[in-house]
Amino acid sequence: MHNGKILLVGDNPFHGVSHLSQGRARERSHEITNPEYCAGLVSLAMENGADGFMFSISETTLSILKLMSRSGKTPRLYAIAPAASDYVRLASNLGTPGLAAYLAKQVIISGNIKAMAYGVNGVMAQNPVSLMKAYIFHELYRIESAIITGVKPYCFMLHEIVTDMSLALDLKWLFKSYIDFMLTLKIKPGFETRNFPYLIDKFTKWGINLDKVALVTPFNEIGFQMSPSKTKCERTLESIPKTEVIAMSILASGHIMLSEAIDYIKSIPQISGVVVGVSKEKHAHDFKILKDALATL
Amino acid sequence: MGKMGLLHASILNSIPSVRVTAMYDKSPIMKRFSDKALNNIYVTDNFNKFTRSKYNAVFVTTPIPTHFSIVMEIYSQGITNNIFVEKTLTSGDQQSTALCQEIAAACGVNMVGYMCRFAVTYGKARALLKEQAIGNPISFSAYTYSSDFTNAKGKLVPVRGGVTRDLGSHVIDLSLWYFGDLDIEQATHGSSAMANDESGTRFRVSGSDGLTGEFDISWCKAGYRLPEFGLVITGAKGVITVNADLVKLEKSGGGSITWHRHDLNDNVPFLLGASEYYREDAHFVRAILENSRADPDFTTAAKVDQLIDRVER
Repeated sequence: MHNGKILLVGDNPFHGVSHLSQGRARERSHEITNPEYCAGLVSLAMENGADGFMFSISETTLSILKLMSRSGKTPRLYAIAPAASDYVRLASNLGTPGLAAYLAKQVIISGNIKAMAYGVNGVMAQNPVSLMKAYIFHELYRIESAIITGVKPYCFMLHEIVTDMSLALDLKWLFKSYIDFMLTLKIKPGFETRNFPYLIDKFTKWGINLDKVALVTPFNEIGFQMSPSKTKCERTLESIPKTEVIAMSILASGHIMLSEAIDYIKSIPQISGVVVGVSKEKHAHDFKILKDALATL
Repeated sequence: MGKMGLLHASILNSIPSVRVTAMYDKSPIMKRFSDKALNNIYVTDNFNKFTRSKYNAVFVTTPIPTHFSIVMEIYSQGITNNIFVEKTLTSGDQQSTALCQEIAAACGVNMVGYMCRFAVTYGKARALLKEQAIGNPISFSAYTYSSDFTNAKGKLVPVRGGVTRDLGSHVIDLSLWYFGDLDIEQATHGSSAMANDESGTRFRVSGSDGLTGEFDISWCKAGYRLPEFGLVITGAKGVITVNADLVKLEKSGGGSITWHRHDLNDNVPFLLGASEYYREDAHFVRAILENSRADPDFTTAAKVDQLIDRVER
């Protein structure tokens, strides 16, 4: 790491996600869904300066982690849960109660005692906090089961769908209990959001200590997915200098050239790091250029 | 309290002039947990309790087959005159026609959730058609694909309303928005991937001035992690290709321009799911506050149900 700025490999391409074009994602899906190929890309990015791996917890990414772990290359982990697209599809097919039943079944199959204990307590006492803890234990157990080195994630993040819905519905209890719980586990609590100023505004009103959390949110030259606006996001960033804010979508899903993205990142030195997805070897080699750019901030 | 209910509730609560005050879900389990989780919102599994209050507006995001009875109940009990219904309006033409007659007596705002109209790419394509960028449209090809049931093996039977209504309705609505009324020429249904259900539908239509079109709808298509709605429109002077990601204009004389979402001022005050959901909800709220008509309203959306009925006949 240089100057404390962190450079992370993102996993969106491994899930067939492209915010530029789903057609493009389908075209590259054959090789990019092969865990061995993906693990190779992450390893190559690490060799070129990446400090860690930010990933949604799914069967695909757990397979990648398993392969990397076997070759002794476990990166610093930023885990995101839930893997929203998987759960949205399940909810479409099974309904929300069906999804809950599916999750409960997965916890039981895993045999994870902590998750089961919190799950039973959550159901019996109708306690949402216990259910949240059961879910987090379940996801952490999945990660631990994939990694033979026993390394736990540096940061565990709530997916943007959960974060942003919970913000809008004023679920202050969820944020507070989640942060406290993660801190007791000695894992940094994090939030992925596409509504960065809205989150900061709510957290400030609720008295949540922003220095203890990590945030990942879009920052790019063209303001893509920067709600409500690029200017508002940049001003908000300036107002929280002690918070770990990682910029995502710096290439706006490939709409922006790497050199332009770097110029933009240099204009917002308050960011703590960036996360960039890889789908080709060339992208992994580009991490060296990104690393050098971050070193100058 | 399904995913669409939570999505709309969240977006609405983010709009400064709006506050979500009550939710109804028939599941007692969902009610109990939601009641504890949502501190500022009254949650009930008893429809009679829900209907005891008056609301400025109600969003109906239940499964399609329940829309008609719920909306009729809301009108008959005078709970509100301002109703938003997730697509499709009802399960069929007959019910939709009955609802349209009902709203003639009410004087509120009504709207159906065809969110594609509020996506910047589809809006850009409509603007290009309006300005005759490809001249008069001659033909179009519309598709909707998803992988929702690609791996279904008989046990999973969708209860949502069938592939044409549940998945195809978006692109049917877009086609009606772009081209006006359409007549069915020929329809074929795909072989069943699941018991008692269809895996896909294809049909041909005709419109005014000799326009012809074809639809291909499937929820068993591999590689579509998200549903994709798209059209390829051929005109006398060129071709427009549009989906949720981009619009491409190809002129007959050569040359093309592509606009991605990124190029079309896609930002909204609160981004959840996709920007079109916010614009859709904000449009409905604005129509209530300004006492104006929302679009697509029940009458417009009923045309989608009419066309689907003719496809399924």
